[in-house]
Amino acid sequence: MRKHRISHDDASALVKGEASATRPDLVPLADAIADFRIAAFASPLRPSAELTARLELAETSGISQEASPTWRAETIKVRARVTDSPAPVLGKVKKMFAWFTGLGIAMKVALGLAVAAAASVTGVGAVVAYNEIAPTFEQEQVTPTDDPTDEETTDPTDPDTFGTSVSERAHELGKDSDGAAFGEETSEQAQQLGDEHAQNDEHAQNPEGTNPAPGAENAENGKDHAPDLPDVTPGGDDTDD
Amino acid sequence: MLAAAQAGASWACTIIWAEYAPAVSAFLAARGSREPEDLTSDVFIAVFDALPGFVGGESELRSFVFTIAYRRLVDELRQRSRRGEPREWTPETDPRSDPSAEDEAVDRLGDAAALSLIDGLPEDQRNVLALRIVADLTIDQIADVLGKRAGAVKALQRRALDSLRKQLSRDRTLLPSTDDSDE
Repeated sequence: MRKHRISHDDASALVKGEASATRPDLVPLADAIADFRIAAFASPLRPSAELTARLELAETSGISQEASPTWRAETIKVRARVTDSPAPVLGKVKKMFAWFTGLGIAMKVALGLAVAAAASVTGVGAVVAYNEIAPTFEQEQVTPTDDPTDEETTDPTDPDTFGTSVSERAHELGKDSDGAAFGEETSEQAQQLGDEHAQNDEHAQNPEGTNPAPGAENAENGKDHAPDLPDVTPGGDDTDD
Repeated sequence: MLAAAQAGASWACTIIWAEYAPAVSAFLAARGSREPEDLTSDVFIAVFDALPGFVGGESELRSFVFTIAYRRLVDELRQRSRRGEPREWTPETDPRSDPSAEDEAVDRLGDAAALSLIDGLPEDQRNVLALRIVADLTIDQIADVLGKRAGAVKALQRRALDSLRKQLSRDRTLLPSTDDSDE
């Protein structure tokens, strides 16, 4: 029995691994050709060192083989878009990397030392800048505020800081001021402050007023501050004593 | 892109390699190259060297690439025919050993078995089918690569396919049938 001859259309379908519905006798041949095609694309594909030097293989290294031309075409289009658009930037980076990898060990060590030296200089500069800036920053941080608990502020009505307040005032008055008048004024303030503070404490500790010695301790506080006065009195004139 | 590749831009050469290298490697493997991977690299080095003198578009570039691949393959096949083919001995390939049924099945189903489909054909027919099936070349492109007329390539293709059909039909006839109704 003579079989049909393979037409041009049949051949075109067969080389793609297909057989037309009107030629079921060609199905085994189409299957064999499809297997042949798949087997041919199964071999690995890695460029040689010489060829690699002429390619940019960051995105395309390890390209997989595939028998389907449609799949390959789509893959290549995508790969081409990826490789094509960023080529100017990526190319420079890759060329730098390729240039660096091509250097000898001595040159790489020298480059590494240079980079380390640059990093050290930058680090020292950063430390110096910090040392210059930090004090200013800390001064800004301790700018006087209105906080009543601030230790730097002295309240002349506070028995605990009364002595300090008097000292500051004595410095402000200077040598030309009248030391006797200043001492007398300070003594009166101290006495007054001691009395007020004693009354407050008595009221706080014994609201019924049973404390027999009201304000004695705080009065002593006021007097305790008084002996400091001659030390800070500018004139040192003790004629009133 | 082609102009950039001709100017030596590596990114453009990479695109050409990515587009054509799989098919070139497959063609070389299908035509019996011992080292298709290495030969593919040689082909593309030659392609990039010759690219500045290339004139044409994408279709001509495909013919250009496979012309170089075909010539490199012919060189390898000639060298092998002159020097003979040294074969490394392995127990599996020693004909004195009895292959197991499993080995036979693996061999039959393996890539080598599939690639041996065209081994029994004359060389011209093998070239035409490999370029047509694996390299996706048209009749005219194959005619350019092989230096033949398009009509001659068509005739070679038809005769090759007829031979393969007969060969497959003969193999199926020789296989033991499991269907007793035919007897």
